[in-house]
Amino acid sequence: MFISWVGVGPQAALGFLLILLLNCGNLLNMITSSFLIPSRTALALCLGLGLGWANHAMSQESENTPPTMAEIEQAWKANDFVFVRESLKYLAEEVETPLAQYRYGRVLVEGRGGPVDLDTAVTYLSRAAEQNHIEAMTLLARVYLSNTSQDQDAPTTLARDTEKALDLLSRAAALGDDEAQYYLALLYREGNGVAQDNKAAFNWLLAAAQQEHVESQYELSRHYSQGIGTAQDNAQSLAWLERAAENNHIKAQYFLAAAYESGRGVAQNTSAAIEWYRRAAENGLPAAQRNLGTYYLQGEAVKQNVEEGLRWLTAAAKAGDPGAMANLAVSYATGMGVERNDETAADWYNRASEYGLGRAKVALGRFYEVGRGVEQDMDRAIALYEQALKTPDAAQAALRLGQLAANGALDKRFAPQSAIPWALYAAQNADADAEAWLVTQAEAGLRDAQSGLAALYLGSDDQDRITAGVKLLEQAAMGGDAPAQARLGEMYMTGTHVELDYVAAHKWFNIAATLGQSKAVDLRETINTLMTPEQVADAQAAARYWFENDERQPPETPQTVTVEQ
Amino acid sequence: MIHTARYSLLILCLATAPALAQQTPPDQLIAQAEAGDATAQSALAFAYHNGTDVVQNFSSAAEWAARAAAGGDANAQNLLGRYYHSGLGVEQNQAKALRWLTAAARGGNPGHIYDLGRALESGADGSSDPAAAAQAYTRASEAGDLEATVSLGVLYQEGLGVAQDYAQARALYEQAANQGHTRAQNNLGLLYVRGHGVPQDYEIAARLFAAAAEQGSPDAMRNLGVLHENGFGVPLDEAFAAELYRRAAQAGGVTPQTAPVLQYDARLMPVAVDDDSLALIGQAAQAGDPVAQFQWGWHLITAPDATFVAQAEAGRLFEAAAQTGYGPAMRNLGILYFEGRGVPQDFVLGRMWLTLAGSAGQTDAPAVIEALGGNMTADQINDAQSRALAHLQRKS
Repeated sequence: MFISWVGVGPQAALGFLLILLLNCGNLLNMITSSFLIPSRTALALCLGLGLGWANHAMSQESENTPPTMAEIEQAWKANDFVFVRESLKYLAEEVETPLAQYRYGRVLVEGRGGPVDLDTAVTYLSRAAEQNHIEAMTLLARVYLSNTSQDQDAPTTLARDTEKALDLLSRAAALGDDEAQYYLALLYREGNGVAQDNKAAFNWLLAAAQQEHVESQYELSRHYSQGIGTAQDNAQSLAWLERAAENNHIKAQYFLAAAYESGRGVAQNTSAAIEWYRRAAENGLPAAQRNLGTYYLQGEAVKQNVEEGLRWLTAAAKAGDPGAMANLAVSYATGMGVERNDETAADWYNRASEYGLGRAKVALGRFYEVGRGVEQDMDRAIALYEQALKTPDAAQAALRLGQLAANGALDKRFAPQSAIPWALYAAQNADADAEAWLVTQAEAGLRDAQSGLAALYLGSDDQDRITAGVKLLEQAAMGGDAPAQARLGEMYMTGTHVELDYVAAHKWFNIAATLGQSKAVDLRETINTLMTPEQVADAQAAARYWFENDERQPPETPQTVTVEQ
Repeated sequence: MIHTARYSLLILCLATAPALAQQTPPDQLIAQAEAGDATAQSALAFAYHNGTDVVQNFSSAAEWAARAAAGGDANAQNLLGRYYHSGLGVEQNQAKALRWLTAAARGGNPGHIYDLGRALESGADGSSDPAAAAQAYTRASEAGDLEATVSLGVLYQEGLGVAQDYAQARALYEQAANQGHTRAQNNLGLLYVRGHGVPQDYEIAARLFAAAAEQGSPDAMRNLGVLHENGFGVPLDEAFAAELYRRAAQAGGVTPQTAPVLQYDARLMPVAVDDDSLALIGQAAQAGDPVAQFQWGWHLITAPDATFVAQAEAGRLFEAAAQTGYGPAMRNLGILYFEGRGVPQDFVLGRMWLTLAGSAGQTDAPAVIEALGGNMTADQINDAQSRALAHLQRKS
């Protein structure tokens, strides 16, 4: 009796096994979009534990009568995959219905009730597919698309075969299988095994999306938003994103929320944004949890609820979301909704900083500068700013370093030369101290300060600043700054801020070209055609004079010498 | 490899030694010239003018030409007059130019009379005396100078210095065109295009342009192109017209096909490109071996992806080798100065090094100067020559 061996074996162990097997299946579902078969670890578990049960079952087989599909389905619901696998094997081999072959193949692919066995799975799935079993075609195609032979834990001779997969998917898609349509669309979009065809990709996604295939709805929204294989259409993009979100697609929920939040492609609607962030947050997406928590803490678009805010932010932070950590830090640093606590704030900044978040590094640096919540440590602060320079928040760090350079805090730590870019950034952001410091450096003959300030001044509308900028650019050019020379040449060539002067332009292009400015090589060629031989001769003589007189040397730093009588 | 380099250097010394000895003209010629022999003075002037057996120097040429001219040598008078007209070797001076060109023209050489006409038509100081020019051209033309015949035709066609007379212009052009003179063929063709003094006839014009174009006249190529582009007197053929314009552009100025290229010293073994050999060449170059400097520079600048830094280093190496009198380095350095590659673009220094290269046995140096130096002013040429002279005096 088949039924009889359902109960065979210790129930406690069975329960443990089933949990593991279930995990294998979940893994498969999670990564369907990339055509992958379960990960190596999951396979190993299935392999090791499943075999024992299968052997045990085999010894009982002769006494049993054939199972029915209804019994198998019941066993599936009860998570008794060993029974499911053995029963399906029997039906697939003996009765040969396409349904049994498909289901047996699927069990083998997923490694339920025994090890993954792709070679046997292909055999039965092929038989089912030959009888036009649509789901068998799709699953078989996915097996052909996965790079199974690379996986040492799932020994198989099976090679990746895009051509067969494409054929199967085309048949299944034409027969209306939404999953096949989805995978076919991906193949067309990537040009994988078939000529790249965005239009075909779009059409198949549309077909699958209309059958409520959620991943297709999400992808379709992207196609409409970026105009891939179809005309760009914000309304359609939004409609499909909404539909995927309604069908509980987490990323769709998040991006829908973000769209409502920013008003990009849709009328701005903060409360709709919050509701969708909530759905995604409840589905466990840290970025959504962070945003939702921040809304509750700020209490502007939604009734302030500090407890709820901290709960979501903490959830996101614990899931490793550095933005949430930094937002928590801000709450503690400002006492927003919680009792102000500099130590806790510094701690959260530190954790976000360790995740590489630039603005957290800068904020933590400010704490270290003044000893807030941490022991005062200027070296540590500067080190954090330097780290932040390598992040997308580099501007904040450059600004602070520039301000520090301007008030002398970086003296003896950095050569003025290396602080110039930071001071320039601060000066560009209207920091008067930084600008004054740069003027001092420029007067001391630092070329980068001269050319940087020149660029800053030449971008202004103020005539005095422009005049000063031209003077600084001339100084930098005379001192051997090749980009400054090329820029000065362009100004002389076009008569911008200076009197039009082809001879001067040629001279500076010629010098800059010799010092390695490739742009100047072309400009020298261009201006040559506009000049008389006499002008070219004068310009070449001027360039020769520049090189012969070693004007490249920066001026000596003036020394105060007291002569004693 | 060092071994090879030393060996090569030996060959080099043998080869360049005679060239260095040729920097001064034969003592006998100088003695005769110093003694007042106008023929010897004239011969010296043209030696310096052409750079044969001496370093080309227009200023020295002008000095000897002045002495020979005073002694009545017509060729020297003509040369001196042309120098004053162009400003080469002397300060430009229209009065002196006319004085010496006139003196030369009295000797009756048709070319000399033509030169006088040119100086009258377009003076060094911007003046122009087309009537006097027409007289000179007439004399030269009658004496058989075809350039003068054509230039006279232009004056008749334009009505400059003479009454406008298309028939006379046509007769003069035909006279020269029948002898295959390209400027005459082209100008006559234009009379037929415009119907000046002849019935308009595109077919005859096309035949004339084609004849001149075949002899390499860029103007005629362009004119023939216009006829083909519009189908005037010839089948309409835009592709052929474009081809003619392209050829015309190439026939003028420097083109990638005609541009002088850097050359390796044919007497040396090719640079071995294995790491060990290159390291040895690099060391020898560092130590100041000019052949190694040349080879290392060559290796750097001929690399297909030579960076700016490599080009600048090659320029520095060629310059170091050139300073020791190594001809192939001088030649390549001169080209780099004209191109502004690895060194600043400087026609003066470019011509200086090429002039020196010529005196160091680089026989194609005058042709390279001809190809690259077309846009130089007289001042630049004089400057280059006096620098070349000063360089040699410093070295000896």
